[in-house]
Amino acid sequence: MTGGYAGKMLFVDLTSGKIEEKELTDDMARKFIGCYGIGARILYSMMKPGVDPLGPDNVLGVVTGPLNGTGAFLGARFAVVCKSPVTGGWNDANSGGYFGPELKRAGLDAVFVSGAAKKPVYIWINDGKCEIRDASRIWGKDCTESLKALIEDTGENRLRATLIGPAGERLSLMAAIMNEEHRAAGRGGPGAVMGAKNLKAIAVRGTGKVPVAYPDKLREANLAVREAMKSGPTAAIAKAFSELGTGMATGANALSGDSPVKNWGGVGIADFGEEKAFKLDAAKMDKYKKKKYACANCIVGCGADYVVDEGEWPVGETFRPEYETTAAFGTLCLNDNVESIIKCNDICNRYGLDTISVGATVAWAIECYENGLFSKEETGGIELTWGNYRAIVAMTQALADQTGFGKILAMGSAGAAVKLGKGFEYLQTVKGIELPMHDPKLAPGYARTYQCDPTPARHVKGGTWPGQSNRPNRYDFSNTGPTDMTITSRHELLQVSGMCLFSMFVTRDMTTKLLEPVTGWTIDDAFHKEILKRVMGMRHAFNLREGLKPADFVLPKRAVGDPPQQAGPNKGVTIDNETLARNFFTVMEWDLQTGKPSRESLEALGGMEDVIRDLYG
Amino acid sequence: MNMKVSVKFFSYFRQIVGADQLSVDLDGDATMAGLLNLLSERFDNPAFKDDWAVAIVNQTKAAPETVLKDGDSVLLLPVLGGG
Repeated sequence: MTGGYAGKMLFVDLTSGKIEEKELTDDMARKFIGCYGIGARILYSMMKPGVDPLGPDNVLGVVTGPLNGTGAFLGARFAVVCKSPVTGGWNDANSGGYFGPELKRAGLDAVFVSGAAKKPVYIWINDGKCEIRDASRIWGKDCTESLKALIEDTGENRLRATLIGPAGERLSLMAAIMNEEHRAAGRGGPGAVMGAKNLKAIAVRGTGKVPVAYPDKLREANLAVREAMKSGPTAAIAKAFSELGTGMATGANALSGDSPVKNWGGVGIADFGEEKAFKLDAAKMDKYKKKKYACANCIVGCGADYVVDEGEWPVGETFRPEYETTAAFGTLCLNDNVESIIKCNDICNRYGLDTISVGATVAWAIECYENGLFSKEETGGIELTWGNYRAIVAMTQALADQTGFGKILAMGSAGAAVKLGKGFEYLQTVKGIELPMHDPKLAPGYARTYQCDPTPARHVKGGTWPGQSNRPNRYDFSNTGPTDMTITSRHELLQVSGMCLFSMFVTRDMTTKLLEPVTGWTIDDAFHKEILKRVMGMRHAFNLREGLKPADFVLPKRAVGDPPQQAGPNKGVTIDNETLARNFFTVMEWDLQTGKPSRESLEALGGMEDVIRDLYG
Repeated sequence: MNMKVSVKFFSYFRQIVGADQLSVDLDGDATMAGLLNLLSERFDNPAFKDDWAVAIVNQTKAAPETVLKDGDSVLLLPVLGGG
C-alpha cells in the first residue's frame, strides 16, 4: 500500500447494524488522494440521486488524508462528506485537531455511515475493532460534556471523537460536526445529517504506525519547513499566526475592505472605524489567553485556550474565536464587544454550530429588524439592532436552544426567509449557504469560488492567492482561467492530502514537499491539475446528478459591488463574476450552460466511468 | 520641506514596530512607496514592502505612487486570508 494509507475503509449501516471493512486500493488512492476526493468517489457510488439529506439513504463520510498520522507538519486535516440538507447537493467540510491522525493510526483511512439507528448510538473504533454502542446517556449533552461522557463510557481517556451537540441532535441546518470541543467541520449542515442518523459520535483510539515511503526524506522536509518558518520570506506572518492565530488580522481586515460589514451593506472604514477595528484585534482579545493550542503535528499552533472568569459572560474555560467567527459576530453585525463574541463562539462550540452561518444569520436578522420586517414581538423582545451585543448573544442562544424566534433562525437565513415569507432581499447566500468573511471586491478570486465550487460560499477553495488583494491587475478578468486553475489545483491537492491551508504562510509548495516523501509520488504541475479536474469533477458530478445547474448558483449583488460602494478601499468596484466563472469552466472543460464536463476530459482522467454513463448514456 | 505623517500599525506590523502608532518624518514629496521603504529599512524587515501590506490614507487604499501630505494619517494593514 502506498505510504500515508492504511488501505482500509469502514462501512457502517446503522439500520441493519452491519459493519464491513473494504479495501482502499492504491489505484483509488492515487486517483482521488483522500479527504473529500475519496469521499466524493465513494458517495457517488453508494448513493442514488434524489435521496432525502436527512433520511437514512444519505451517506455520511469521515475521511482522512495521506498526511494524517505520518508526522508531516501541518498534515492533520480531515474531511466530512455528505449530501447537504441546505443545498441538496454535494457537501464537504474540513476540520483539524487530532481526530484524523487517530483514525489513521487505528488502521482506517475512512468511515462511511449509512442508514439510521432507531435510538441514539455512537460508533467506537478501538485499534481496528469496531462496535455500535448505546448513546442514550450522552444524547443531549453539549460537545464538551459529550467528550467527557465518551471517555467515561469507553474507559479510554486518550480517545478522539468527532461528534454532534444539541444543534445536530435537533437537526439545525447550521449544525456542525465537532472534534476537540472547538474544531468544527461546520459548513453545509453535516451536523444535522449525523443527528438524523441518531449518531452522536464516532470515537476512535489508534496506536498503530502509519507507513511512510521515505521516512528520512520526510524528516528532512519537515526540518526545512521549520527553518523556513523561522527565517524564510514569510517568517513575520508565520510568527504572528503562531502567536495570535487567525484573529491577527481581524481589525485590519475590517478596514482594508476584506471583511464584509453590516450584512455586506457597509464600508468598514466608514461604518466600523479604526477604534472599533482595534478592539477586535487578537492582540487585545488575547488578554484571556491561557495557553496555545496546536493541532496534531503543527509547528504553527494558531489556536488558543482561553479562560473568561469575569465580565458579563464568565464562560470559564473556552477557546479563542477564529477570524471568521469574530468577523461574523463582529464586523458583520457592527459589534465591537469582544466578550460577546467570545460568548457566541462558546455557544456555537458547545452546541455544535457553524459560527460563520450563525453569525451571518444573526446579521441578516438584524438588517430585517432594522428595516421593520421583524417586530419586537416576533423576536421575543430581543431588539436586533446594529451593534447591540447583548441582543446578538441573546439571539444566538435562542437559535442554539431553538426557542421562540431562534427556532426559525436555526434553519439558517435562507431557510428562515422561506419559513417567514420575507427578508429575501437581505439574504447574503449562495444556494442557501451564508457567505464567509472575505469580500470578493477586494480579492476577486473569491467570487469565482463562492459561485463555482461544488460547495458554494466557501473561502478555502482556491481561486485567489493571499496577496491578490493588493495586485493592481486583479480587476482584469480577461484571461483568468489558467491562473485560477493553477491556484485552485494547489488548493485542491492541499485539501485532499490533509494539509492545513495555513501552510501557505509557512513556505511555498508545502503540500508537495511533504506529500512526495510520504507517498513516494512525484508531484508536478500536471499532477496538480489532473487531481483538480478529477476530484473537483467528481464533486461537481454529484451536483449535476442531483439536478443542480450552474444557473442555480447566484452570488448576492452586494458581494460583487452591484451597485458599487461609494466609499472605502472597494469604492467603485464591480466584479465581473460571470466572466470569472466562464473562464474557469472553460479551463475545466465544463459546458458553460449545463456544467457537464466534456466526455473526452472524463475519459482522459479515468476513474469516472459511472459519471460518463450518467451524463452521456 | 520636511513633513510629518502619523502611521498606525495593525497585526504583525505592530509586533515588528513595537508600537500601535508612530509619527514619521518624511521629505516634502514623499510617496507611499518611500514611506514603506523607510519603515522597511528602519526596522530591518521586508514585510512592509510585500504583497500583503496595504496602506490606507484618508479612507482610501493608497497606491505606491500616492503622494503624502503633511499631517496625513496612514493605516498599515496586512491583507490575509483568515480562517
